[in-house]
Amino acid sequence: MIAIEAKGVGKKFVIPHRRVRTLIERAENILTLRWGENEEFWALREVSFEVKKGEAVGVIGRNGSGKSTLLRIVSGLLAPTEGSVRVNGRLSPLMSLGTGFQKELTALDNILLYGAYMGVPKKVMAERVPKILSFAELTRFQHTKVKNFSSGMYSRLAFSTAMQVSPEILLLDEVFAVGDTSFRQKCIQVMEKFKAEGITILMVSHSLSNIASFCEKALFLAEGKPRFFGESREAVELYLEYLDEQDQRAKQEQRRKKRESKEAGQEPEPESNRWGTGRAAIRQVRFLDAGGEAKLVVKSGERLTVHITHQSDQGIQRPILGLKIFDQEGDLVYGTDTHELGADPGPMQGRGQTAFVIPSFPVPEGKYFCTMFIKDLDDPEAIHDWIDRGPSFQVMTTTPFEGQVDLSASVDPDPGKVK
Amino acid sequence: MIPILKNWELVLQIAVTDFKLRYQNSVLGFVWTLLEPLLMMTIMWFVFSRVVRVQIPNYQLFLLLGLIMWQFFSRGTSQGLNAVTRRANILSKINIPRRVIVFASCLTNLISFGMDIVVFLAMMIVFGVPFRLHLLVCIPLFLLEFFLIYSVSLVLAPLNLRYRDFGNVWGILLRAGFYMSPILYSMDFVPENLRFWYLCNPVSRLIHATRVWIFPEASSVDHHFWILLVTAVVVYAVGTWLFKRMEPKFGDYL
Repeated sequence: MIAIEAKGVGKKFVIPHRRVRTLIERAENILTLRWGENEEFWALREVSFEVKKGEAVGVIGRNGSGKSTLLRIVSGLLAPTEGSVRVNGRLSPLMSLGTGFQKELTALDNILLYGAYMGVPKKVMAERVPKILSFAELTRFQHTKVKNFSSGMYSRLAFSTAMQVSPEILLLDEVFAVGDTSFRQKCIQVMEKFKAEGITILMVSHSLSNIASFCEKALFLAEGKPRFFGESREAVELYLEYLDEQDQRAKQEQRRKKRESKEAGQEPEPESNRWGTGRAAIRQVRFLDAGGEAKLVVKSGERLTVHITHQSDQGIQRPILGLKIFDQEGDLVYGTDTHELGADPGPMQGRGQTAFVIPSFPVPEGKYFCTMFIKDLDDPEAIHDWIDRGPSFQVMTTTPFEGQVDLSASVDPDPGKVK
Repeated sequence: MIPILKNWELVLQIAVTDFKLRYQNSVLGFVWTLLEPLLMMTIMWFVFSRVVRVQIPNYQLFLLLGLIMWQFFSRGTSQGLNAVTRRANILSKINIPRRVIVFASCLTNLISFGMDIVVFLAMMIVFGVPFRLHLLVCIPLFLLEFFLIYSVSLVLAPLNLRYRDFGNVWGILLRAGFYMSPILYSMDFVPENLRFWYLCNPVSRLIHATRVWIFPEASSVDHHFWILLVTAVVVYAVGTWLFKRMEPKFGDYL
């Protein structure tokens, strides 16, 4: 049985150059003949897909690719401009961060009100209240007004409440961004349970590993148009390739602009995250994947090569080249330099290349920033070049895990007796 | 009406919650609902019976009834007009028939109005006016006023969502309506050539009709109750049509 069927869905937004909210403004626009100044924008175009009952389908794409708009259309909150969506079964509310609660009401009252919005009888909802509160870890705060909640508490309450309204089709918009790691883990467990119960799930998430492991299928949107719909792992791979292409293109664009401004005789803007004597400089940094290709998205667990091109016109006899990798939160993940590794690169003269080869980089998904430097063994005080948290790359995990390091455990179903 | 009946529990829950919320942070709580019309009555009574010297028997009660019926209409419609926009945060997440929200908002005001009526009955005892059986006829009249408020809200809510000016325009119209309706005075005070125009305003006719029932000695002008009924049904039809037509686009404007 088909739970959600979308046929050629398109949504056009009209973006007025000046937002018309009042009649006077509209009249003004008519009088000054600015009627046609509205800009049309298709947030979605020709999107067709089917979700079978009990299936979990992910929607991936960059910000602004129309993911949330699609979810809003499926939930019936927005009417599509063209095409149609058929939904078979009871829809959950569209869950996203900060689902609407009344700030002036207590947690308890809000749960009951929410249940009413969802059409759950008050008696049934009242029975579920203890469960909701304990899941949200908010039992102690049930009589506290929601306005006094922290944003984490608020999201936890919203998520727990919405989970208890027993929908047949669940729509999730970035709910994995809610709460801390342990709460997130709990949410995934609940979703697994839902899936086992045969509830249909349509979800938008930036966590590609969640999509790849949790969903059977995924829809990959680019600029409002579907690029791919099918097996979720394949969709994620394609999406990563697309991201890579896009990033490369953006970089090229940046380089071109830089060159142009140089040719035009303008001084390039001084970089605030860079300093040094200038006797040696890092010219280019590239991240190579296992196949030796320059990538901006690399897979956790695979070989990563940080390829550095440097230049020294005056020459340095005994340089030290260093690398530090930071995560999004700014915590140091790993740092080393050529001296510590016992692999001094030898004198630097003119242009040269050095690469750090990392056999595997088993870290959680996310963006990582590199700090790179050139120091001098003969002059410990001197820093010739230091780029602070400059070049970045994206890490994508194929098997989800909890914690800081992917220890890539495997399961032995028949380990035999312990000797 | 079908979506309302289907979501009856939700309607009640929202209405009651709203009522609770209205007096959240005040010491006297909902006592204010009861005090407000009484205070208004006292002021108006002082001005119009001591200063302007209006001669109407039981003027205090006469005034109180007009005031609470007017307040019901003016609050009911101005909140009904905002019902959808005010709940944008919930309505942009949960898909429920939007009419339910408008209805619930009107219902909240019906609860307040019910309290006001209790105050009115209490004042009747205070002023020694005997209860008569035909007071019961007022119940359908009050329900008709509720129906009218709901219908007007159905027209105004989608318009206000599209152009926020309607909120201001309606505020001005209501202020004008207060003086242009027989609230402070009776229909007999209105010059005969103006009475037709006065009665074009359904609220005038409604207040007038109710007073004719309760204070027959205060007015002798015929109220033609059936016109009121027709007006309300027409407004309801227009409201339902407009609301249904605009509902699919609500999401774009929220």
